[in-house]
Amino acid sequence: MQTINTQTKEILTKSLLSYYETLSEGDLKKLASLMTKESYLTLLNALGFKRSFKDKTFQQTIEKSGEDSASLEIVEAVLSSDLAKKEERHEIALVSFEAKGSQRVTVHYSEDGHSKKIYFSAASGTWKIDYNAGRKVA
Amino acid sequence: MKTIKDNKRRDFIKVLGLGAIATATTAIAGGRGGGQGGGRSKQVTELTEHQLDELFHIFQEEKVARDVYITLGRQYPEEKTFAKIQLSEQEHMLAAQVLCERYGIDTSDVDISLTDDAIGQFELHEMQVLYNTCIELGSVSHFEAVKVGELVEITDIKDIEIASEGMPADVLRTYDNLKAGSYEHLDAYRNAMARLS
Repeated sequence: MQTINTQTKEILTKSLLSYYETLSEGDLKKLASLMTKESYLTLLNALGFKRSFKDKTFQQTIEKSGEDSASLEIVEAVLSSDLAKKEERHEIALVSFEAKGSQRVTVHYSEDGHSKKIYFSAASGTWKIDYNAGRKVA
Repeated sequence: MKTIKDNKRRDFIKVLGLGAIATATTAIAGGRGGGQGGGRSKQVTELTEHQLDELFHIFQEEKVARDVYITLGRQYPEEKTFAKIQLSEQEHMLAAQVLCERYGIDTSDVDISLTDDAIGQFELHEMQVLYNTCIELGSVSHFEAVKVGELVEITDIKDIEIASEGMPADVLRTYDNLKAGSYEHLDAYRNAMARLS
């Protein structure tokens, strides 16, 4: 069974808390630095779903944001402002760490009492939130 | 950017003419449980690590659509489209699960049960965000709820198209069936929107 060292646990804990903090503050630049690019774009799509629903132009812009940096900047500016206005806060409590391979960890935690988990993967020695890293690998 | 074309949609429906149950059955017949080793059928080819990750993600995502339709269906019981499509979404989810298992992906820690406690609860943050937003938007009115269904299907189709890139034939067959099902759902929601307008 793989073990996760204390230093890694500290890094992942800090990253999880920063994830929620940046979302609450609307600091998407910092949020992007915590996540893999693919996961960050997935999250932007989820966060932008409400605006996409009401605004076709925004929907088209967010669809282009993966390949077009100008579109990404527009989306980030709009969503950053939305998030900062909402200022949503959650009670986060760590539960456990689960190794899913030497370069993958699932962090189990609770958000306002609800059971949650978040996936991390390591690339070039850096741990990032990676929504696609939930699968156990060798 | 990927676009949805009507002719493509018709082609899928015409060529496949299959529902999600057929997809699941085919997948089971094709070698369920063989992903761990010796029992693999000839249809199953090797996937890259990235493709396996995407497969697992698609499976987890299927729960969002199902739970949104269950919840909106309860809010608007007069709208039968939700009831019909939530059953189909359940089948989509099972088809994706079968595909995961076929490739040796352990899905046991994903709660897909239909208990009241499980519906609308997502362990992954981005999926909870998506679900909550859909319910918030759909709670405004019956018409808005149906419109949510339309956007969920459009999003699902786009996601499957992206996930399909580079996948081998057996995965594509399941994905194509899921997509054909989504196009049918899209039609149903658009018909409901027209009826309510």
